[in-house]
Amino acid sequence: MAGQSDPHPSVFSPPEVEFLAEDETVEIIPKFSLGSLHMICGDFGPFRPNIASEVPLWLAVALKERGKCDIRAPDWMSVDKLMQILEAERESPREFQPLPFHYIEISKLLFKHAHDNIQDIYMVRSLIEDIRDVRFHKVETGLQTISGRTHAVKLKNLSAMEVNIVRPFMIRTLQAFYKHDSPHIIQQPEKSGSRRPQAPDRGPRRDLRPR
Amino acid sequence: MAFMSTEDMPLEDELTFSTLGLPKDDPTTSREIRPEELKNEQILKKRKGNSGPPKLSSGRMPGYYDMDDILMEDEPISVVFQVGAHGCGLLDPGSETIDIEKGMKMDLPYWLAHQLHLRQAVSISVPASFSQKTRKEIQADAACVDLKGRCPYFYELGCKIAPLVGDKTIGSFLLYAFTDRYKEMLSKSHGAPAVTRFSSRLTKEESQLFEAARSSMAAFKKWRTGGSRLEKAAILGRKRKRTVPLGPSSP
Repeated sequence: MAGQSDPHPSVFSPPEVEFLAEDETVEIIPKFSLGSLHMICGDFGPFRPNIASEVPLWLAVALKERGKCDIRAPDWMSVDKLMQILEAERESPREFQPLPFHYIEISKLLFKHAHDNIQDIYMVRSLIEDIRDVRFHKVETGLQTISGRTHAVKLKNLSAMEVNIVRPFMIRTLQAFYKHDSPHIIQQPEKSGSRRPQAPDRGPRRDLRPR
Repeated sequence: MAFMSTEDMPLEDELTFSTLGLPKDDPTTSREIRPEELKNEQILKKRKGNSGPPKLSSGRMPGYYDMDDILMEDEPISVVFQVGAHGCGLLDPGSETIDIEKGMKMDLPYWLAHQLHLRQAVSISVPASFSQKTRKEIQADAACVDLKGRCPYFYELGCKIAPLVGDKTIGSFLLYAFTDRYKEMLSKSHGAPAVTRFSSRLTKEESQLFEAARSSMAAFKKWRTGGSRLEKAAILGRKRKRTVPLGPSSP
């Protein structure tokens, strides 16, 4: 990532975020037997047929493509759980529900490579889409509240891909508002009050806007 | 030389220009700008060579290598000369004489107008983009105003011109305009097609914002729908054209 002084903050592309998500672990049920694998990211295995084992997603996908294992879908990827989450997302307009940091990427990879291991795949897929839409809508309404006094925005439980989508826009917005609302530019409050209704009492800048 | 801000002026040039705005020190000194000095000044300004890369002082030089900042400084500003200048008629294409008389009105690029203003050679009037008429339009519906047509560097110019013309309302006017247009940008930017009627009305700063949102959303959608992670090189997709033999075709 770019440093703070860089005016054009670099972003990850979606495939790069997907790459990062592949380090998350999933459970697989191997169809082969093999001793432990010693890799830079850690030791995995030993693998015994029909005995579940934790491996990184990239390894799971690679084994699955060769027909060497079944991937066990994560707990949160069940219709019941997702239903609950969607309900909760809709009920709380200012908060995001805790979901895995990479839920969009993981679900996309699993839908693509392990569609036969997920129950009710159509339902799960559309639920995740709905959840993502609801959450993104929340982000947009949150962005509307940004004003000159916003110094930072706290986005708890937002996932990697969602952050990545809004990052360029949000950073530029905050920069622009910071620039235009600085006391250097605005020297004194409006006298006529015709332009900014709430201008006279500007008050101190707030440090954090809780969301 | 109290009126001069030394940080804006290279040392070696200080003497040449010190004559310019000092009526009381030496009334006999002619307060004229000679063309070679002006040229010198132009070169220096273009390089911004006074103090080397950027100080983050108030409003001046936010980015030394910022292309937009350099382009912004070419915006024409209407000025009125407070002094006469010999041999500077070339600044005004419509001028018939070679000299500029006191009280003459003309459009100069911001970088020149600013430097001359510092030396009290010109007075700057509020540009049309910040006139009452524009303000009324923006108050009516900010998002519908074609700011790009008026001044593609609306905000940047506004920030820089406000201290020069001494209009304290420009700052809050800019904030109001941006806040109002930001709402519209936010609702239209994510998921917009590449070029819309709305995006053609945006100033440079706004369209960067708009583009940032649009492109990141487009990249996400492409990733979500697009299957393969490996992209085919353009050259591989091309089929070789089969050359048809020119001989007579057999029936």
